[in-house]
Amino acid sequence: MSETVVTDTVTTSAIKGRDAAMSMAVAEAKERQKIKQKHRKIKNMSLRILANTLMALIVLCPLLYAISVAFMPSGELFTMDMNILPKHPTLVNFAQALVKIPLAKFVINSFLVAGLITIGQIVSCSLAAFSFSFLEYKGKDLLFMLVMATMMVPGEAVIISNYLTVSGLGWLDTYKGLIIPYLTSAMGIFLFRQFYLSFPISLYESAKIDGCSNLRFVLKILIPLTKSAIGAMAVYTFINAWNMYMWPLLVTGSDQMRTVQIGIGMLNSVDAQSISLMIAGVVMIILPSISIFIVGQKQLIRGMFSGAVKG
Amino acid sequence: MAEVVLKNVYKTYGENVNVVKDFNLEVKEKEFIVFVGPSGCGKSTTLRMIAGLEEISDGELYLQDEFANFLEPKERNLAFVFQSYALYPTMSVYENIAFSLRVRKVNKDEVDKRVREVAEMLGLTAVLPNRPKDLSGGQKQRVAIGNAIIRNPKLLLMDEPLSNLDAKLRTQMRVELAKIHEKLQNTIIYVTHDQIEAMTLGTRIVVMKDGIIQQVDSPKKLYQNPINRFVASFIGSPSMNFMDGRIQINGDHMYFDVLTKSRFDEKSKFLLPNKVKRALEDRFIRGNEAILGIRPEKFSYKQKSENDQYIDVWVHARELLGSDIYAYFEFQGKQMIASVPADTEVEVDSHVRLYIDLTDACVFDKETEENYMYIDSREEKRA
Amino acid sequence: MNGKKIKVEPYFYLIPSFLVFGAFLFYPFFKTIYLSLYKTNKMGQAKLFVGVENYTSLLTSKSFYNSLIVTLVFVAIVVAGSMLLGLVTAVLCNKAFPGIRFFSTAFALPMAIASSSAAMIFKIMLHPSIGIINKIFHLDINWISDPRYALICVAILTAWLNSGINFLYFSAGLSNIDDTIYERASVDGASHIQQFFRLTLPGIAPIMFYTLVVDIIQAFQSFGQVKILTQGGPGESTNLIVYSIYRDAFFNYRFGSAAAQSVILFLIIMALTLIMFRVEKKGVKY
Repeated sequence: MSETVVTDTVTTSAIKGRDAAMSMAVAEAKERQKIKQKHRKIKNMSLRILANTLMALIVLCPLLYAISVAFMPSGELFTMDMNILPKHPTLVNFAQALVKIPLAKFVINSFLVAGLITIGQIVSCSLAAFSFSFLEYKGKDLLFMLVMATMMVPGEAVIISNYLTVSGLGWLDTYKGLIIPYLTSAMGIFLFRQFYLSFPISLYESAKIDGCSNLRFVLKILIPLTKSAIGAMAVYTFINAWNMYMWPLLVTGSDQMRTVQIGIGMLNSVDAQSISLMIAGVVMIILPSISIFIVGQKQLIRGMFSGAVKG
Repeated sequence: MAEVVLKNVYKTYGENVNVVKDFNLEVKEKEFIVFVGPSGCGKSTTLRMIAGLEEISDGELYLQDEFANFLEPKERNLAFVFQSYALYPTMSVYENIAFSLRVRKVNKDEVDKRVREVAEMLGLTAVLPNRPKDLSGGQKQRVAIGNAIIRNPKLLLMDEPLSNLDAKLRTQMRVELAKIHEKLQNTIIYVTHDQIEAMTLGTRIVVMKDGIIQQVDSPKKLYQNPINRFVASFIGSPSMNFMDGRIQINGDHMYFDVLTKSRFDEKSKFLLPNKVKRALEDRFIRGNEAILGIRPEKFSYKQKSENDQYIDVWVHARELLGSDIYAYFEFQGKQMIASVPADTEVEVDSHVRLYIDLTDACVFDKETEENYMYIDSREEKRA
Repeated sequence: MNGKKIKVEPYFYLIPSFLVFGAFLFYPFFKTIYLSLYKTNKMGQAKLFVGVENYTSLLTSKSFYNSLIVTLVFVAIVVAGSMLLGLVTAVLCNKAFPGIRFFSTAFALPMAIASSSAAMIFKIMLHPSIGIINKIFHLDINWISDPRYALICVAILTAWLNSGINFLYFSAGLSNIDDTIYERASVDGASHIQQFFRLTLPGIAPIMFYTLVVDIIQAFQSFGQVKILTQGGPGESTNLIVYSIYRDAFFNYRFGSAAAQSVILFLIIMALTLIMFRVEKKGVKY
């Protein structure tokens, strides 16, 4: 391509003389500028990718290292040498972890607890939010303020009394004790209400005129319209419930009831064998929450930020 | 000195989607140029290429005779008024107007003086401390203009600046823009899809369609001398009426025979006046097929000269617009509009004889849709 | 419907939520205050009314002051760190480029990780002899057992955990800024740095403020990482207030004192929140 340009330059300038030569010089200068511009663009883009890669390495470093250690035979881990990647990758740690602790039982417990909490929050929060956004009644504003005020109460500040309540009810070491205190959340109510408020009230009024009952309106019209909010809420709640630590630590006592976070914590002692086991276990229990996060990330972002959080 | 020159400018997306094709234009100092065309015709893209907000895919751009394709927007020494106003939401009106001086580190007293001058001129003095969100649409518009003119740029680009205002405000701002141009004497390139804005503001108008310049001319010339059917129909309100038909020559006379679609025996043959006849005589017209274009105001309820032709039509609707009345009728299966003075008795659902003045009628090629009557002003000068 | 009849139906929809709130938030809230005024037995039953004694003994206890200061330092590091990390990553990802989906997932990922899991991973990384950190930087520091470093380690771990959701908040804030104002700024002649400080930062100020409030509340409640990594030690150098509550209640069985600390924790958070909202009203409002 550039070859032909050069030959062109020679022939035309020979024929048309000085003017043409000058205009060709201008054209060449332009070509140079164009190439420079292109280089600048490529440089900017590569800088951005480079910066992102570096940052991603830093952010992901603990995870990547954990995966690497999980595949390392424990002999390799306990050296003073540099050992970023396993030289002889092995699955022994995973197998051992599964044998040493009833991980399968913990995973089932965690799925059950996190799943029920998620479903429960979606139901209770969407009902409350429906009432707060579409219905008119006495004390509505006050009740809503009350809900919002609970956001300021840190869960850890009431955890002692809750423990006493649950133990008084005889719910220690039961699913009830793990699940019921978390069946609603102020944030969920707020999120759904924010979503519902973006619908015109005429949506509700026209349904009423058509003779639609409130419950039917929620089930047939509102819920299908708020799939993205429900998705966001589901991802967020599930991950948080899966990762819950302090409450299950207090209210569970037996292997039958322990959730994954507590179960893996049991491996947390510093003898040579168990470090690799523990990390293998950690990697296994991180997988579900990370997978759900990756799959649901788009939903989560769309639902949480489409008008829900605005200044 | 030419302010802006565009030479063979293209904007291409992907492989071969041309948004702007072979755009050539020379803008002189102090001109008020208007790019007009339907949405998606590439007018805004062209403006953004001039501003440096969009890359030029091919061709050359010169600003004040300097090759400018690769200059950063800030190096181009121009101002831009955005359709959405693009006001900085976090800054007061004062800071919004002052911004371009602030980033140039102009000293504070000078900034203050100029901001107050501009605010005075645009009637914004009272709202200087407010935030943009507390302003009305018209005020936001003024702030955007204030920000653009505070540097007194030689070149001012405006991208549909009035399209978010209501009709009344739009008219008012139109007048003010014309005043500002008068006062500042800078070069303005203005993009709009509204042909009335184009006609009232522009010293020259660039009509675009599908990324291609159709015609560049003064408002008057565009109206009287459109290059093709698109320009003829786009410029002028209400739009020009078109009839399909054939050119017939009968002895010394030339006729336009309208394609008959109606079941009724309507008059469908017009004697073409000499001016039209002369323009058509030495042209080859394939199959003698053509389109006749008549402006709505060339119809009349009264015979004005003995050369007027007439048609008998059924008027089925009318609109009163103060000084004019639009009479809607159907002729040979086509909807048409006549614009007549308001004192005319226009009755709906009535049979009417309409007189037509064909002296300035346009005749378009059936296929290329170019206007046989078009006179290239450059050729005119040479002749 | 006639106006005189009080409608009961709207309240039905609130029942599930308010039952849970009532039993596990409002009731324990007041019960905590109540407990904080009593001496309790090992079962946590209020036995002896002591008035404000639990509070006065806390306020004269060195250990409690230490725990307050440790918590404040911890919160400051965590909030600053996680906001900075969130902001930098969000800015890095605010323009389209090849691979942006991968990178934004990576930057948000820490929010999906449990504090306990993260603490176990950090425990290995910070291990004095086999830990990768000492190996890479050729150091010989006993990160977790050295009171000079333990708190910083826990804080950095927490900042990392919280940075994921901050990335999401800041990304949302950045994408809420109208692109045309950057175009206008580039025509107006502002450099990229000027654009960042005069448009981007003020533009995301409201969401930054929101994030700040949420981050502070969140940081105050950190527990799992302390429990697993340091158990409040060495000495009491990482004895965060929530961990202190836990220890008092479930190791020392001093529920009254733990309840009093809970009340103080609540008061601190409430005060901070109110102060910040007051500041916000005066400052960043548009």
